Amino acid sequence: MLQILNAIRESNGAYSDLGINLALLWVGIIYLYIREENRQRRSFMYVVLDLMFLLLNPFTAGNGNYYRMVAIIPTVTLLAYVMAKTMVKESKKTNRVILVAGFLVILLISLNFRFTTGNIGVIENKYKVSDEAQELQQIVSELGDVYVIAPREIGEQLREYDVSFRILGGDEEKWGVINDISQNWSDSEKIKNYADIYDAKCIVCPKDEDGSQGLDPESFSLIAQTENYWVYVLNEEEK
Amino acid sequence: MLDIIKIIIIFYMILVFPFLLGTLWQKYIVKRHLGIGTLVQGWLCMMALFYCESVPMILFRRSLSELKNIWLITTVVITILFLLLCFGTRKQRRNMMNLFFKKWKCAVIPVLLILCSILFLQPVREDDTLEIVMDAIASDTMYQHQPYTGERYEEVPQEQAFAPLEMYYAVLFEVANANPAIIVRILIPFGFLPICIITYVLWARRLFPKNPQGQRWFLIFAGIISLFPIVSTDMGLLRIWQSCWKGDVLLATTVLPLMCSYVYLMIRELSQQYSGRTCGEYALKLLVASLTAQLMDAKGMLYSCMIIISGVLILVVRRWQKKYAANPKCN
Repeated sequence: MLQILNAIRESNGAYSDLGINLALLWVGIIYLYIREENRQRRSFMYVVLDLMFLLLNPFTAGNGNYYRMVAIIPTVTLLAYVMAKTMVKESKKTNRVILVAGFLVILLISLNFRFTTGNIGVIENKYKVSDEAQELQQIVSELGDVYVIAPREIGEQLREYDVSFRILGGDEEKWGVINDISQNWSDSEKIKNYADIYDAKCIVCPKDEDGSQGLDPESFSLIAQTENYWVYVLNEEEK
Repeated sequence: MLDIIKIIIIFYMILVFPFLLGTLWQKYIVKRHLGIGTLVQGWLCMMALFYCESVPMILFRRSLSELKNIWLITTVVITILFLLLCFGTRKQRRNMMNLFFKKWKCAVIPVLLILCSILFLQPVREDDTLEIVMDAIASDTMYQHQPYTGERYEEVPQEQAFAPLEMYYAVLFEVANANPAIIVRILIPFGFLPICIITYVLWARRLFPKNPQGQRWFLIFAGIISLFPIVSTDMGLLRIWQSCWKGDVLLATTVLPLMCSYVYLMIRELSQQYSGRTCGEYALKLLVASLTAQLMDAKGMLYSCMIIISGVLILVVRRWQKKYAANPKCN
């Protein structure tokens, strides 16, 4: 029983990472149950409760990605409806301002204070790929048809910009390798082993904070660098 | 000049074509007046039609250019049908023009929001859409290669074959020959974000009928909630302003809320029976929306079925309650 409850709790948490905090949704549903006088519009709430019953039942809890099913609940609609309903009922301007501020605070708290400003910024070009990725693409494309190992954030952009070379990634196993490499850039031996396994010739390595050279010069040759990355090729004699 | 022609072609495919399809649907299938929902219904029909055409071709390992040819034929046939059936009389033309231009002021804020989202928001990086599109274009195949390494699959991955939204973008490239990154990240938001906005406008109208103040508040709060993912490290499914081309994002923010609104209407109207709509009409609408949901995500049809089952259950309980209330002795 405890395991099932834990599975339900974990699924709630996992869904909250994907969408809106479920606790907030429950508050909305309870509010509707108490305050909604229009019987027809309460059917909106029945759909949600019905779905909750279908989803948060112990027979499916803990089954892989099942928490994604909670996405079928119109959370944005429900929360916006509850908020709009309260605002319509309130006529005083000061109270309205307090209510809006309160809603914003609740929404901010529901994000667990995990914020980023990385998603905002003027686009660098019409492809929405960073200028550094374009620069790297030009460097790598001079090597011809090569297999590239690169950190995911820049590797995906390289492939989006130029389909002619191949990037290590795309499935669970290969992303696992990239994660492993990304955590061990100082371990040149490990990177060389992976390069041999996947027949990769080019390595794009992120620069350290102090800008020191990352990979072992005996196995890899530095051919170029950008603001944040080194570009290495595997030494021929080593291969 | 050539670039402008390409942009016009893409806008025709993603905005005008759904409107034509929606007009045909409203006039000849459900026999309703044109309105703001016409574009949404047409978009759903377009996606469902694309799903029906693309899945068999992917399973039979046909090439992307063959799918493009079939989609072009479909577009031309629908356009001719529209011109023959709906563009005939002056009154019909005037109605359509009114729909476009009479309330143009309402479109100013959404257009500004869409422009801001394109110019000032970085796309989600963990997204395979563009890689799959680029690979399909380079090899003229559909889901036959691993999108990063270029390795050839022995069998077409079933999950992708039954949710081929990326092939829609690849077909747009084949038709217009513009850069896929520009199509997906710059032009597609002009076609898909209005659908999402209209979905919430429809919800506002249904939840607050004849209450413009309530509708405004609803739209403001829905807007605030959907803008929150921009500053959050989580909330991946709601990142519609950043990555409206992603299937799962579109599914969670547009298609499933639309299905819920259909189910909500179905419960409201079929339990009261005051609008004249029939079960058949709802069944058809929900079928089209389910096919669209499946195009967006491999589990789209499953989610749709769960929403429909919930709606039908509520409807049955409502009718039973009504019957019991009318005649308590029948129990």
